[in-house]
Amino acid sequence: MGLTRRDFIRASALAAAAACIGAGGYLATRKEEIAKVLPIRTKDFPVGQCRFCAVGCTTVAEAEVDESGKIVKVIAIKGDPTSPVNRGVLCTKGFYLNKALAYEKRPKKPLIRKEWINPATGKPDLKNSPRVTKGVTTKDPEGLKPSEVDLQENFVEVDWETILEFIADAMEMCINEYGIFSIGYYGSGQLGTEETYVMNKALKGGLPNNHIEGQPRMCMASAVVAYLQTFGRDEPYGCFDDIDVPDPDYGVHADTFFIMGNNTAEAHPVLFNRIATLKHKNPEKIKIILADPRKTRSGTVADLWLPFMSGSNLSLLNAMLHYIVLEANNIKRVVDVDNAKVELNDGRVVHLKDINWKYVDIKFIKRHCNFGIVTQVQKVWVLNKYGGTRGEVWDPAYKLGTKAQFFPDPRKADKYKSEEEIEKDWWKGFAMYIKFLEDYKPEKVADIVFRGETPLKYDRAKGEWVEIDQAEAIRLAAKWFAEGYTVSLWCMGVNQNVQGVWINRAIHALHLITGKAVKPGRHAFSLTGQPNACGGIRAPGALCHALPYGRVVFDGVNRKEVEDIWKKNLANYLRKKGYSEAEIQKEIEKIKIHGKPGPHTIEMFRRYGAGQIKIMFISTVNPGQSLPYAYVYRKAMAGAEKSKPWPLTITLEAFPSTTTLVSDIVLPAASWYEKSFTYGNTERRYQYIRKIMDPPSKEMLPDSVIFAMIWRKMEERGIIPKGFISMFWPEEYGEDWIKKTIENCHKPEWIDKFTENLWNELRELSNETPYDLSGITRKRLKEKVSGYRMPMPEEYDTDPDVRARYDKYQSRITYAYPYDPHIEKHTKRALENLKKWAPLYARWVEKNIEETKNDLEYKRKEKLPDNYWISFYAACKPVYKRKQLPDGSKVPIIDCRAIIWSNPHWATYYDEKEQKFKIFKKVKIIKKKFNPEKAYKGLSAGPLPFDKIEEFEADVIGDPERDLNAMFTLVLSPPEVPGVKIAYRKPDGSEIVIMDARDYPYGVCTGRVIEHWHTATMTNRVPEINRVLPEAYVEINVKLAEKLGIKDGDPVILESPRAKIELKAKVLDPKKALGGPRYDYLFVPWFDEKKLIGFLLRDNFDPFSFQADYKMAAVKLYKGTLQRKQAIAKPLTVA
Amino acid sequence: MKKGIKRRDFLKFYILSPLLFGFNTKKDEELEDVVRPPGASRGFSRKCVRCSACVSTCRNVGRYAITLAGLSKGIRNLGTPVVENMREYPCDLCMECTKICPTGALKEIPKEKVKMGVAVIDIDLCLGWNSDVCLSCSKVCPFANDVFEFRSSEWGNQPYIKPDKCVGCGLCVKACIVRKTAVVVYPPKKYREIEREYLMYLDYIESLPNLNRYKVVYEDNLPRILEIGIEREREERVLRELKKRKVK
Repeated sequence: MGLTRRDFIRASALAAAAACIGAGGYLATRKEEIAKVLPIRTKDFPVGQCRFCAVGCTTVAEAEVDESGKIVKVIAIKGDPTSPVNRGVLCTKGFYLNKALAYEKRPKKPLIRKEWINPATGKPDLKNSPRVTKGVTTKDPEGLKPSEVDLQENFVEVDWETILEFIADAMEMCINEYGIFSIGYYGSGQLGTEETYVMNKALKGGLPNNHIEGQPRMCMASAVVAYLQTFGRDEPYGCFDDIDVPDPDYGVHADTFFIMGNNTAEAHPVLFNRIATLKHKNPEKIKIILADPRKTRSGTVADLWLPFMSGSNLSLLNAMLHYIVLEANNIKRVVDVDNAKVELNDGRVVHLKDINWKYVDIKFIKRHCNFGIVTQVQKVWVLNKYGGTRGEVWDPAYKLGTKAQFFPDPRKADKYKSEEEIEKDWWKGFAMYIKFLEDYKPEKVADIVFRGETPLKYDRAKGEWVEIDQAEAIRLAAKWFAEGYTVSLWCMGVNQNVQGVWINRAIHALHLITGKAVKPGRHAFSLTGQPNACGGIRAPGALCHALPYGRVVFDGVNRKEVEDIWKKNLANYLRKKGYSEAEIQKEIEKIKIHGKPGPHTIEMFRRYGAGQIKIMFISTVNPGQSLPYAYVYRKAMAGAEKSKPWPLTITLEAFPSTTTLVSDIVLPAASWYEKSFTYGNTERRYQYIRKIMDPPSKEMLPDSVIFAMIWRKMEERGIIPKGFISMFWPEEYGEDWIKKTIENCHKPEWIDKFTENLWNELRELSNETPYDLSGITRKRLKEKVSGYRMPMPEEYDTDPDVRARYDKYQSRITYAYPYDPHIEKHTKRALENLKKWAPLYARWVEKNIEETKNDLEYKRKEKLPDNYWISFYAACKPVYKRKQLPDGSKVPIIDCRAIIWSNPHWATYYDEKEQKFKIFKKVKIIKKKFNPEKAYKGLSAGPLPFDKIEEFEADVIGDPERDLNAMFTLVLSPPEVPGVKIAYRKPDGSEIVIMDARDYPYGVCTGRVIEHWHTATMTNRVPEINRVLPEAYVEINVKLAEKLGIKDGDPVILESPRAKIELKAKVLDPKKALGGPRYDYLFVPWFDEKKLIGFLLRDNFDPFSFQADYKMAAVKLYKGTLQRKQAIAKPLTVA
Repeated sequence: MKKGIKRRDFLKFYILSPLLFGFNTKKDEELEDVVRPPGASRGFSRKCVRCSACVSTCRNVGRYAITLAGLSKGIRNLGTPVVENMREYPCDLCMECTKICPTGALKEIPKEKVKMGVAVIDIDLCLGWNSDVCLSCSKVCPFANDVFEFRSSEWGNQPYIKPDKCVGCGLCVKACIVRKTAVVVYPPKKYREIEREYLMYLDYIESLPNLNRYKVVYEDNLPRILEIGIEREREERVLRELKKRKVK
């Protein structure tokens, strides 16, 4: 055909338009420009998972190549059309990724602040440098200087030998003086799995101090704990396919989406596009519920907006459960908890089993779930006195006042005398659960949930948003949830909350009660933020309490399992190197995992501020910007003690960032396609990232190599066992190993082999665990760019049935046959363990699993394959722990049944006599002081290295049942309620004020925007992106703006009790605009290093997951400008 | 193949269309052929006395959106206010210029009644139409929900601007993340001239079967979006080189 489509289109439809504009027209000129472009030679190179969010789009780099086919320059990153994750689609961040990596001012050589240089020798010096002798530093805690300028002006370049020697000297000095618990590491879910593993192994098995954390603590920890407490294993059980891929048997996928605390459209755009596409094709059938204090951009496809007050998530979710369980089934109240008798609306009293359940999937919960009832939760405030940069702080610590019971209770499984007794216990649990839900009638909690805002429903016929009644909105959401094939999506809005774990559990409860779990298209899907949070931190256990693949440091059996693998591999390596057996024995004896968890992220940085931790390693993360109340932690990092070289902040970075502003040493890291490693995304999919080109400088090294070199130095000094890390080197080097390593590590085959060695040890550690990825060999990963979903056990190669099922379903759903490739093995093992000490209970569990196996009617109704069955084969060791058998061995208590938790929003307790849940009006107040000496002894977990000052109980002021403000002093979240004074009556009649936010009537929330990735160290360096969104702003609801006389674009000041900041106002009307916050809520994007919004936030955290709350800080808002445009911190006060 | 216009049909239709509709095109003298400041009333160029008060007001409020038309806009428009460089200085509808206009050529009207022009997304350049997800333009639109429609598909989120709702302020032009913007504001008159063809083109692209769309996106548009970038970079390199030489 002579006329190609392109020519035709150009020439006709649009060019004709261009002609209309005339010679100067836009299209015509562009046409000329296009004609001028010289043809270039390009080639596609598959790379692997995108560097940014957890969706994990598979990417291809298009590069300009020379005649020999070598890359001259990468022109663009494109989506891989064959990938099941993104099907070729990318978002703008990914599209411009190559431009970020091409940024010219990346650190290219090891850098150290100039004050560390001894003028006499010209080398960095721990004793005789101005930094130590005079105590001076150029670190900038205020964050005033652009990071790239700081990097150029205040640092000097040194070579790798020198800097490694310096770091090793500092570590040795620190360990000799203060012991091993003075060194910490803050890592990242953006590092490759292998890279983090080097640090994890060294700090858990080498030093060993468990002082390892990562920003997934601030991102996913709440979801992790909730998955563990509900299912016993931390991974979403479904995958992306649930959203829009028809399942191979019945062709079903989700038709209802419950989006809570997650702006999918901007934070996970490619995933959102899959949902939006579904909605666009079938707007009537697909229902989307947006539960969020902001009507985010994700609201463009929503049918219902539930604008609850940030922190009131639990009241909303419990009210939805109230409708589903009580109202939909005409249950008025529970009359007899022990015998599970309820009174119906028509006055009849019946046993729960006689109810013809609507919405509640009674078969599912009866066969596969237990009840976990929180029988008591008291509000507890702890005043922690750290001293140093953090001073003292009130932390909510309701964990200390929480008690729970299980129905039935597998911990006492051997006490049950008959199956009837177990069943009676189960029904009692259900009755108690209903009793708990009685308090959450939609009308009753509407005030707490919405606090004066009105929900909106989209009227498709009129094409506009209309207001609906608060309680009705809750009911409608619950109804849609229960009627559809529902996928829930949530992210930071839920996790970053002081009740994050419980909110997560409540979402799981909604799915379990309605039976919308472990079935195709029915899934409670926690979205991760980081590209490798699941694969690199969560599963391999790179947090202070964890060990690889579901193990924990405080479990002796787990410790031994990991130690044994490490010992075996080290012995093999040393044997190969020709060590004698005695020497080998001596080295492997040193491998011992410390049994106490280290400090969690906030705790670690508080201790850094208090001067207990002396050296902090930071990699690929920007805590100087991303920590809540960042100012005090910036001060911690920026400290400079006179006559001592502490604190010493060592950062591995590929870009200048607000953390390099407060770092002493910056080690230049290679990034993304300049090295090779493995990422695991939020749907359990592992993808291998290929090295396609060299970094701009040969001295920019992969993080894995930098870490390994540091620890190899420590091996040489006898601080960690010989060969413990150096065993991963692909080649043996002599004395000049640093030089040789730097020379060779940019060869693709070198770094590939190096990371493969690490990957193989990880596979070995995962083998036989519920996280089994031993079948995902490096060879396989290299063959398939879009990777594999785990679990993929070794049996894939040996067992034809496992292989056939994996090939058909690709581990689409775990805990359910036929999707889960190793369900039989794990179920069998769990039941065998249970049979050893509680045969009756084990038989009952087995019987229940059998019932689903045989219930064809149920399965056909639910559109499940005939061979389908369920077993939550990891549930629930993290909750029930272990059982010691008479022979002394300890078996994990796993009964293959998920736990449905009751999750109170306010302090409450169960009155056994009256069989009633009551408000717990006594508040416990504890004051304690941090004791560094105890911390140096390794007593790192939770409350241990503290000295208690006093403890007493105080009374709530006012009647929480009538007075909303009194109620807000008893809710467990948010800690700081805008406009409310949190105070209690002490026993002596005086008042104790925890915090007073009466002058701060609005809430502020931080979050992401589509253009920028987190703290924008990369995306801010892309001119195209930066011109679109150069600086942060504040989103204000139109009603509030009118009240305060603020117009769009006005400069306004946000002031919290901790800091203030000037921002440009962006006035939005949720009804009209693409989004907007509720009337008393503000949103500020988080990316801008010139506007450190983190200064305004409180650094409180969930006492179960230790994840901080970024979504609710009380502020006031007024028009005006400030001289300093960066956020200004106020002097430190209590609270 | 999906229902819709086949390429061949489209060809036929295109050739025939001027015959069918061409003579019907209403020649509305009142429609502007340049992008005017907001609130331009009917018969603007007759009422405008070219006093340039609006231009200075716009500068005073720090916007720099309004400039005076040069000869390229035609002798009739010479010296009248226009909003030209929307890539850098779009109009954010502060409506200050309308308050200063001495002749009533610019009138203060509600923002949603403004009609400076119509923003048109070049779907061959737009990332959202070429296998990417991007929201940058819609996020800045003051009437986002009313103006923007997303025809989300496997090929991206496919934003579409409703011509009857768009006021033509150009904020989206500034916000476009493609190096050389994929959104342009057409003056009302010119938009009327291209509307039919543009809509046909949208339908045509949307109705393409997957394989063809793949070719359009991956073999045609993406390279073109990228080539523009390269071209610009080369241009910059040459300019830098020239500067260096001059300095010497």
